[in-house]
Amino acid sequence: MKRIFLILTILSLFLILTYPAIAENKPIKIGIMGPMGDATGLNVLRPAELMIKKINAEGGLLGRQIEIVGPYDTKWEPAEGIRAFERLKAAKVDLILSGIVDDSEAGLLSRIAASDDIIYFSEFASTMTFMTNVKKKYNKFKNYFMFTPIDIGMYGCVEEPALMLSKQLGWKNVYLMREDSVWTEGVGEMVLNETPTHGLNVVGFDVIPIDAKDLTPYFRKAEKAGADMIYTFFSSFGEAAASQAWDIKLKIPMIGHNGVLNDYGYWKRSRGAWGPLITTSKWGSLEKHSAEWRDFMVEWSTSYDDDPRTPMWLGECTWKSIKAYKEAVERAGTTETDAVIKELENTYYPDAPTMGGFYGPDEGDWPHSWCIPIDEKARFEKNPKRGAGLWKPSNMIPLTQWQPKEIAPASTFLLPGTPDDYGRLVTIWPSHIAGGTFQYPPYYTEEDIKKLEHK
Amino acid sequence: MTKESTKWIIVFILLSASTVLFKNHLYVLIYASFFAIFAMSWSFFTSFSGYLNLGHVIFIGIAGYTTAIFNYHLNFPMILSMPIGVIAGAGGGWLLLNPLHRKISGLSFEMVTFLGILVLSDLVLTSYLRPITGADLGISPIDSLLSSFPLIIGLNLFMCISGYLFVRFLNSKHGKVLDFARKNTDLVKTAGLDPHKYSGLCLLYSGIVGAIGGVLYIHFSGSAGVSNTFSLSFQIHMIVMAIIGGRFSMFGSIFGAYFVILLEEYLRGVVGGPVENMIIYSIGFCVYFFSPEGLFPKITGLKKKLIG
Amino acid sequence: MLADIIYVIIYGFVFASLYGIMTVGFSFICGLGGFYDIALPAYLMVGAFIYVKLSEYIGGWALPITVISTGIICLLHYLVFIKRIREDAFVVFFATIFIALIIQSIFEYFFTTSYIYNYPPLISGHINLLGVKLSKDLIVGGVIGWIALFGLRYMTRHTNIGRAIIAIPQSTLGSRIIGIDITRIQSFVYFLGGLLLGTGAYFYGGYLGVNSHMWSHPLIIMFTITVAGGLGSIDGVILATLLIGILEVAVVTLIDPRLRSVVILMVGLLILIFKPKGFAGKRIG
Repeated sequence: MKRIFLILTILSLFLILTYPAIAENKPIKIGIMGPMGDATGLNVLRPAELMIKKINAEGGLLGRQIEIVGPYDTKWEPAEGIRAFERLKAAKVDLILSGIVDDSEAGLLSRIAASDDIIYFSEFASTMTFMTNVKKKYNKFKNYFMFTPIDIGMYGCVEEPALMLSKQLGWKNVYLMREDSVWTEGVGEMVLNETPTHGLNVVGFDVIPIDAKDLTPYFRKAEKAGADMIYTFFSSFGEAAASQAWDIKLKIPMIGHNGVLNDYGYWKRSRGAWGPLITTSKWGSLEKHSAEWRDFMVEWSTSYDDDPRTPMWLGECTWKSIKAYKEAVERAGTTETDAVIKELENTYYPDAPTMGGFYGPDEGDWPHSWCIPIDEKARFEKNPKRGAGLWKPSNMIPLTQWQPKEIAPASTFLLPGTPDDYGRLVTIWPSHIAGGTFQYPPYYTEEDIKKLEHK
Repeated sequence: MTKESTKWIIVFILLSASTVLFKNHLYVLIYASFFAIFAMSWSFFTSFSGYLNLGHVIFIGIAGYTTAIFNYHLNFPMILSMPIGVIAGAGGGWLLLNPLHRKISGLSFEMVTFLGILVLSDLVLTSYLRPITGADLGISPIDSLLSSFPLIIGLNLFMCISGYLFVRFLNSKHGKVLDFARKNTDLVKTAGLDPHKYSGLCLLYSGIVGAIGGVLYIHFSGSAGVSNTFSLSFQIHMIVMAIIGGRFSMFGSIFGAYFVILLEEYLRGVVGGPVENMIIYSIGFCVYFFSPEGLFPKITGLKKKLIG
Repeated sequence: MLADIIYVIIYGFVFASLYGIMTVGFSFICGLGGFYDIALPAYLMVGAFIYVKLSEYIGGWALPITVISTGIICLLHYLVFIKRIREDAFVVFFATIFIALIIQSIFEYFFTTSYIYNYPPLISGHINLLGVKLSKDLIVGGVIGWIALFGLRYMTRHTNIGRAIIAIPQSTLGSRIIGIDITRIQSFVYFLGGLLLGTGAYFYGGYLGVNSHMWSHPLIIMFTITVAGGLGSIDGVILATLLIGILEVAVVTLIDPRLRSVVILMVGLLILIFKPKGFAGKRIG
């Protein structure tokens, strides 16, 4: 009996003495939420799993291991988003990586503002008004960071390549198709108001209901309007648009944002419907990207057997958000919220597929949204000059096109395990990471091309 | 004090006591109470009037959008916009559904309310109404009720009072007529009574409780959007709860809501959304198929068997 | 404008044909069974996925297998579930909503909600009809749809089994008295309806893509067409199919695409309220 007492006393003494050390080493908690029955949620979960495994294997962050809390499925429902958020909050997470969309996030705003011990990374919502909260009420919303380009940025990464193609091929007439949802509204307005000032004609537009299935009536309208190219802002029916255009042999190239369209599995799912739709994507022509990103792509595509094996838009957002958090915590030397926020405001990645970073509340109109320096040269510097009015929203989402083996440049990087006759995803804009050029789909005749190019 | 009111007081005390166990996860109980209110008010009309109402969310939706519009666009404080929402929701929903249930009955009523929800959600979603309803983004941010002890206690109190009043109504003369009318409409008519008057009253009470729950739910959600108002999946969610618990008693709905919400919360960390849905729907299906009166009567029946 | 109207009529007709082949199985089963079986559109989705997966390996031979297996699935669905509850239309409605949702969650689990699967049409190429480009595969689908619709019309009028099918929803007791074996007749209806659903699945999925929530749009279309046509009437269904198909294309082309589903649903709603029997049907419930 005495002996047991002695052992217990020693044990409890040991525990009391070492408690601060144990507390110091308690894991950093990163909460994950998003629609997990969907490629969207998996685009948050998979990169997070891979990166956190790697960070932990390298000894953790500040010597502490990182623990994933969740993933909590939000099923595209705002109510489920609130439940997931509250559950993560109850679990006392340090950081939330959230893959929910705008309507779900709208319901969370008041809760985010009321949780100043949590940093919230929005990986998928892109509504500009969310961002103005941070500008207007910085002290309430300073824990909110948006890794997605906001409206202006999204507009830029369609408009700039379109201008490039217009210069190369002489396309002049633009037809706008956007799905009827909030994230396309700002960009849609910009196309109607600003594109004409760049020397292009907007010959018509359609706002397509999100439950539309058949896009051919819209294609016909674009044909009738004499469009040379179609801007698309689609999330759910990008794939349908691409394959229907392929089926009916639409002879107007489409450029735009199209949800999951360009992930690795597309070629198989669509049975090689390439060309009609060129769209923004993060993993085209990997030979041109930084080695860090390329290695990560290889790791991702070899770690999972099912789609998504490559990122859509928010897969890269998650990658850079974990990277940014890790670096900010290391620089701050603590996970204490305010200190980390200060350091996050000093983040800048010139070599990420979406180049950009964050700045503080006094340096421009969109603090905590993904921005690049206005100065063209400074964009490519690791530490661009910082200061008021120097930043604009990033638009550097590369534009990519699926091309079959025979047409794609031979140097195009192939992910390990890709069958030889599988399609290649080729980046065609921006020029500093482009691996190839735009190619007409096989059903365009010489005559069609002649008609299209007003040279 | 009657036996019935004692029962409800016990339920209130039990539910309120359980908040201590969940003090870090109050939101779970809050959601459960909200859905209990919705499921209860749905089954009050549906189970006892003989009309299968798939449009109960119309009350919640009109009430929710009204309070959100007044709060967001017109800057009314929450305390003022909520009563306006309740009046608009209960009144508006009743004006829509009451004439409808007089005109059509049976399967057609079910189909009309089913299609009605789809029309309403589609209308709200089109960007025509963006300046008012915010379309797919919804109206946000509005004044929020965050998770707190007063909220959950208040909800439980409201739930128990309205549950008690529902039972009182069913046991009253009106309730008896309603019961007769459900079983044999012609009999009631020959007695010189208008059966629709009673079912209309029942619909109104169900709507008022739904609308009060609705405005609170919208402010708890922090935004009014289609998915927490006019959506079919929202409607099905509360029906699943009532069916699992037992749609012929008020306690059944409460039991069903707590059961489903707690199960969902347990499954959330364990399996993904699709599997979670699959489990809940399978339970709903099995209950509906093999024991249509729900689980709650089964459990109380079992208790009686064991004790007596 | 004239070109638009020609387009609306021609494309609307072809599109209606697509809806026709997709809906005819549903209308046949529900219209003649006297209840709404919400699980049927989910079986359309099952059929489409069977085709997607099989055609990867055996190409076009997947079509007959898809059609037959969808027929068998519907038959089993009837024998296992519907047979026991067919007397009560309410119960059928709810039980089948649950079944449909369970099927959807299973497919969401395996195929996610975001991806769309496509397959090349068995008959490729297009024809140009008065300036309207039409896929040959779709035209074949439409022709099959119309043959099926008129075939069923013929069957319900001129064959004994057809008359028996019509008789059941009107009076279950009466049919039993005159010696109709309800289970056998309805099993046949379900199997035949399943074959049609399977065929519809190939054309619908091939044209508009296959994914794990593709059943909801067919549900609304099937539902509206059946409601508008009236339960128990093939003539009504034929009329309603044309109306809905052309109306949809007309709204998208001539008015505003955003109103597409609102208009379709409103048509269903108004018919239910003001003409519950549909164009030519008998009231049930």
